[in-house]
Amino acid sequence: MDFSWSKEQLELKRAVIEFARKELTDDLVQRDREGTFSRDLWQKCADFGILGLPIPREYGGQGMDRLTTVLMMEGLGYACKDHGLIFGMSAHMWDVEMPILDFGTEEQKQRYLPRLCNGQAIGAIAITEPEAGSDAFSLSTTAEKQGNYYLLNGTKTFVTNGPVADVFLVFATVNKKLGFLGITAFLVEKNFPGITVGKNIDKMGLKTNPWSEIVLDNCKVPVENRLAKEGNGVAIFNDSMEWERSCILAGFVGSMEKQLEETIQYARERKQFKQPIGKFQAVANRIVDMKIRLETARLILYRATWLKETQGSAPLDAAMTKLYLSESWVKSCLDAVQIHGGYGYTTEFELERALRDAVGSTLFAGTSEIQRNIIAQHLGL
Amino acid sequence: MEVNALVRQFIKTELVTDHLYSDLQDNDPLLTTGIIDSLGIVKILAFIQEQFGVNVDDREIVPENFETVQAISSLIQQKLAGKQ
Ligand SMILES: Cc1cc2nc3c(=O)[nH]c(=O)nc-3n(C[C@H](O)[C@H](O)[C@H](O)COP(=O)(O)OP(=O)(O)OC[C@H]3O[C@@H](n4cnc5c(N)ncnc54)[C@H](O)[C@@H]3O)c2cc1C
Repeated sequence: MDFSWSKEQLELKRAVIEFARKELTDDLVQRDREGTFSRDLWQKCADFGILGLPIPREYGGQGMDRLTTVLMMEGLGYACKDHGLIFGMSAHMWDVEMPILDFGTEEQKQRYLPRLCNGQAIGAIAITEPEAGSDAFSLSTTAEKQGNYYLLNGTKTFVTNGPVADVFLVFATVNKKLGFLGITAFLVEKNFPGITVGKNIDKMGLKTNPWSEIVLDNCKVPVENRLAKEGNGVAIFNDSMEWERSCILAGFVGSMEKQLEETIQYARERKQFKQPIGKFQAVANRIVDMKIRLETARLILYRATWLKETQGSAPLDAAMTKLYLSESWVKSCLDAVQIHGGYGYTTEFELERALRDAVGSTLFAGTSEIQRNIIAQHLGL
Repeated sequence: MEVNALVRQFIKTELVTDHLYSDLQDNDPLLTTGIIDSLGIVKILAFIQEQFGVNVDDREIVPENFETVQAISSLIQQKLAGKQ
């Protein structure tokens, strides 16, 4: 077993860090307060090649293997505190680009991937419905075939990137009687007749990434925009969830590293009772826990990515990764706030924002409870 | 045992919870009756892999391959034939 990265991989990570430090700086506190998405930063990331990292060059991507992609996303999270931007790009990459790459026809790949990689188009995934959250396969959006079109009807909610998206990967059932195997995926463009995209819904964290409802009212979707076969939606869903659960939190591992470094620095400099607070064991122990969480999060992330890439399917490891990374991130944010005392509670120190951002990660792509259910099921329980 | 019998047996013991379906036949519907749900399919895929040593590709997870014991058995037989 070799745990080392190659020189080239580390060089790429350094390049992303450099890029993010130079290009991805703006008034994040203000944008978070206002809940403003920056298309400008999105485009800079596209120009740097981030949006196409795991996509082959023939479709406009960078052709990186998944582990290198994850390492670069980690670098991005280390140097860029805009978790909303990183989350939005990760959803675009793992939930829209990857399913098109894995399940799309050659024509669909040519039609969508280059635009998604170069920043011209933004992707969003629409599964959740007001009445179908954790029980995603109980969705009730319908797709009725009429000649060369499907008519889609239903409401989707919590659609990350929704208000700014150009292409939606929408899950609907072609036959409710078939249960979960009636679910089918469609690539729906924002200007297709019958789709209405709602306004940004204000939320707790990840505020620089907009999300919304979408309403499909006899939305006319050409047959050639169906992704894979009728009833193949569940396989597409599972595949994209595995990618998402394995890899979407990579950026946040970088963020945990940065936060740890800043917290160590603070614990060395801040003095109370005439000594640095880091000399108090109660403070040092919290930092030790942060370090251990970071390193174990890293290992589980790399292993799940490697398994998914080499074996094609890694549902157990993906669920463990999602659960462990998200809960570790929340715990480490709480530790960082505590160690910074009252300053940690201020907006200026940017730790309260990270905590608000982190909470979302225990909910999207299946809540922590659902990840535990999946793991238990794999253990034969 | 032949493929159909093994598949039928597995579904009867692992997935059928309603006594209405305890006398499961090869052409009885599995999807519209909810015998195979989203958790059940995961178990069936693992069973196919373990019992027959073949993998079902994501693209093959469609209604026509899982609607009856007969359909599942045909899929397995095709794959076994492909292996030889
Ligand atoms: C930041 C963010 C981004 C998101 N982005 C998207 C997106 O891009 N596209 C999209 O389609 N959806 C998206 N979602 C929606 C997300 O997938 C759902 O919120 C999630 O699946 C939970 O569904 P729900 O909110 O309806 O909660 P519910 O399913 O109603 O759950 C409520 C509570 O009950 C618990 N619960 C439910 N069932 C079980 C069970 N079987 N066992 C134990 N506990 C259970 C849950 O864990 C939770 O604590 C996003 C959500 C968030 C927070």
